[in-house]
Amino acid sequence: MKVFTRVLSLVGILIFVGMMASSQPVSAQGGDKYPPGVTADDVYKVASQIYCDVCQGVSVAYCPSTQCQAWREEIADLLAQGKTEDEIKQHFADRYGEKVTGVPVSDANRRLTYAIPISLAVVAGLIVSFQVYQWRRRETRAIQVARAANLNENYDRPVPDNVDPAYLERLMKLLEGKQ
Amino acid sequence: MIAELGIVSTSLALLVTGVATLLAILSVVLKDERFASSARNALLMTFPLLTAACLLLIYAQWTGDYSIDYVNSVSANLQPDTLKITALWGSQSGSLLFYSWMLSLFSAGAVWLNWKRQRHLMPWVMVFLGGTLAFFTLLNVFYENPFARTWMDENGNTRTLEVSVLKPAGKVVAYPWKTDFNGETFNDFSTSDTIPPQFGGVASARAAAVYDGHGLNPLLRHPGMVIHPPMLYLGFTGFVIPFAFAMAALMIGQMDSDWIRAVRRWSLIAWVFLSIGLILGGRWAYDVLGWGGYWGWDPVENSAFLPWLTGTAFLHSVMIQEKRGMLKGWNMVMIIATYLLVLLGTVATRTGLLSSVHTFAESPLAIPMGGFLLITLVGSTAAFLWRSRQGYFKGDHEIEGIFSRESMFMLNNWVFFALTIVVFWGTWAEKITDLAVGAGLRDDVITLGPEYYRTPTAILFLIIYVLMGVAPLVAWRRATAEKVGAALRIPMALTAILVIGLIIGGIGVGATLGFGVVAFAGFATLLEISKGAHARHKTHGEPYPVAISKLFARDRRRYGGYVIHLGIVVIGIGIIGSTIFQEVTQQTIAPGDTISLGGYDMRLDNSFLAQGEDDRTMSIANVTLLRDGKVVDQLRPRRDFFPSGSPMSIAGVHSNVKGDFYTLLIFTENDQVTFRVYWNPLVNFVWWGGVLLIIGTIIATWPGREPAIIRQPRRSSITATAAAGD
Repeated sequence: MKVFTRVLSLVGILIFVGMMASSQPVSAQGGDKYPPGVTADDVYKVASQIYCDVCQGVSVAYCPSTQCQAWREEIADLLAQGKTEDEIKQHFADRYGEKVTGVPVSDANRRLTYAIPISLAVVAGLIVSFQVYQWRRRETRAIQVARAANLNENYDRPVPDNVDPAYLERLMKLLEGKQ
Repeated sequence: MIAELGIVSTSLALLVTGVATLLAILSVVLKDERFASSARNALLMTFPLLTAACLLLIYAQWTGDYSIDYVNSVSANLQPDTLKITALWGSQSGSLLFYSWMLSLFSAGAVWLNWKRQRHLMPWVMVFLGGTLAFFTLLNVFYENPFARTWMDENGNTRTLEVSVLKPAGKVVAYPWKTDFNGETFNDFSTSDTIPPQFGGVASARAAAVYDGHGLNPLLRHPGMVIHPPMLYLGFTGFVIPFAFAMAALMIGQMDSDWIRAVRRWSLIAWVFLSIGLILGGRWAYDVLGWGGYWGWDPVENSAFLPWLTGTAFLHSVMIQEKRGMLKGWNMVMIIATYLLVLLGTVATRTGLLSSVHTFAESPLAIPMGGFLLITLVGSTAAFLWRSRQGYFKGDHEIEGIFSRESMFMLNNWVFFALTIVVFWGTWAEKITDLAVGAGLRDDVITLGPEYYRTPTAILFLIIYVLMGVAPLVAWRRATAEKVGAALRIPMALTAILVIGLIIGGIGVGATLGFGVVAFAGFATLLEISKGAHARHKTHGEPYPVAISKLFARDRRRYGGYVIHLGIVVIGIGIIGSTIFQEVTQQTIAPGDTISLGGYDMRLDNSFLAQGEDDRTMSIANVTLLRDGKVVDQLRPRRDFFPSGSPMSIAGVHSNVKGDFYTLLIFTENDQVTFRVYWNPLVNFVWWGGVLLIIGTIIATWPGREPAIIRQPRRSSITATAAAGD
């Protein structure tokens, strides 16, 4: 029942907003004027993915500058014309360059954007794996040598987590001294 | 007089740091203890000198000595007393002096506390500490002197104002005056700070003129700004100590665990301050910047986050060197990289190299700071390569098992490294591609916003959470899948129950995965603590609260680390909740109308304009928050407008465990008010997790007794005592 009432109220609000919107432009952020049928939420959704030159990294959705206000109104106009989110981003990228979008819209630049960090991380991963492999080989040989010399007990006892390293070092030195 | 004293104290500090560095170099070259002792005394002396300089500047801000240009720009008569003090870090030159003071604090602390224990490293440590401090005090004296005054012609000609440390020929000190003229504020200067003739005419419209400064940037008049910059600076400057010890170890060619032991605690202290700084910065952004979030992947936020990532990696990999004598070269690289990233972040913020709301204006610091960064980069890399070629980084042991604690730490370090690359590229892609365009290698610049970071960082952080849960359960040297599987059974089962519950609750795949992985890390950590407590309870017969407290007291570092992990788990819950489930709407309503979001109804009661004491005009709305028709809170979102600078939104927030109902006043027109309203679920977990993280670090860094003698091991088995924390 509660859900039904809420839905009914929401429909009522939407009808009211629709009626208001059809009669005159809606005043939104900082006095933005949006065409009928476009809500501030619609504009916000797209504007939060577009950045302007003077915003210092702040998206057009939150920027109080007059340039960003003009861009928001332009986004609203494009939405009213039935443009999709991607088309609007492409529109701004074509006019002002790809720096206005959070991620490049062209395939080449988008690929480069992700290829650089991924390849660097993969190279680092390969280096780490190779290093571990090398260590493992050397250590296996060392264990074989130690076992052959009947010193295997040093390699079979795990070191408990909580042993103080300084204490452990002294202990090792003491044991080495006795040997 | 204050300005003169300030100039003398900063100049003396520069002189003393220069002398300290020179004496430290002489002690290294001549191997003479007397030079080392003198260098230590000189380095200790910089702290009181820079303390005096900071106090003098605060005094000038407090008393309103606006002839000092810096004081004029950050202080004002009507500014609250707290902000008159915190204005010390309110702009470039003051904050740079504060930065130097913190460097001197850490340097003096390290020299004082480590003098006996790491005596052999100290001459070189002092060379690097002194050199760094000398560079920053040089900037304080010659580039960004906060005691520089405004000067004008003796005949009162204000067109030839000049800001200078020393008195220019034929000029006198200029005092700023503010006056209202037909409702507009004008700034003017005079040769006196007592009512000068041009402002004293009774009939004059300027009779109401007052000797006053501009005041602090409105965005910085927030409680978060009182403490956020000092924390961040403590984090930044704190990493100079591990770097200095690392470089000293490189120079004397001693790659054993000694330098690691010296820097472990310093690194943790710097790391926790950096963490607090980042969290408080997030809180400031949440409260002041008016976009309903706390982390925007802003270039300057990232600049502080990058050393945090490498510093975190170091704090993990350092354990391998301590326990097993491995990864000597890697640890050296991580600590050098952390310090270089600190310097890069400082350069980026202070030279306007990266565009952000956090940066200072473009300044003459770009060349000296860039040069210092380059010298540090080249010098430290050369020293590392030199020792590397000599084979100094060969480990004492090798990895015994692919499945071992060591390999888990290496995987952890790789993930942190990958995160560093992702964030670094996102932050610097614009500059790098800009250079490529300039060199004719590319046609266009790539600029990356928050959308770029979301997927790669989410994946990498999920891996980190998995490792956080698994790694502590994996034994050193080598582990078996059966043993680890058995240890993981309970956390896995608990996670499975949670995941089934979330799936039934229908919260979506992404959120279920995120919460599941984060909760797994939490369950595994809690299980580790409970296992230790249970072992103590069994072997010593202690009640559980006593067993837990003794467990923590016995091995502060390990269990403090677990509390830090729990803090990160709680932060993770907050980030997932507030990111995936955030709801937002922007609507314009009239009094009596409501906006519904997140199960709440917000009703506008009225709106009005008010005048603040510090010249701000406030547009305020009174709103009532209702849930199921019942009033739960009265909120007062407002928007403040200042005579100069951007307006500031103060959100009206209703907070509880479930989340924040967060409303911003965007615009008013007649009695209609435009609000942007957010429902930020679980956002408070981010701040609570931060508190846990601090508590954990305090536990981990709390000084314990160093074992002076080798104690007789107990008769009980190693395994039982290990679990009990003995």
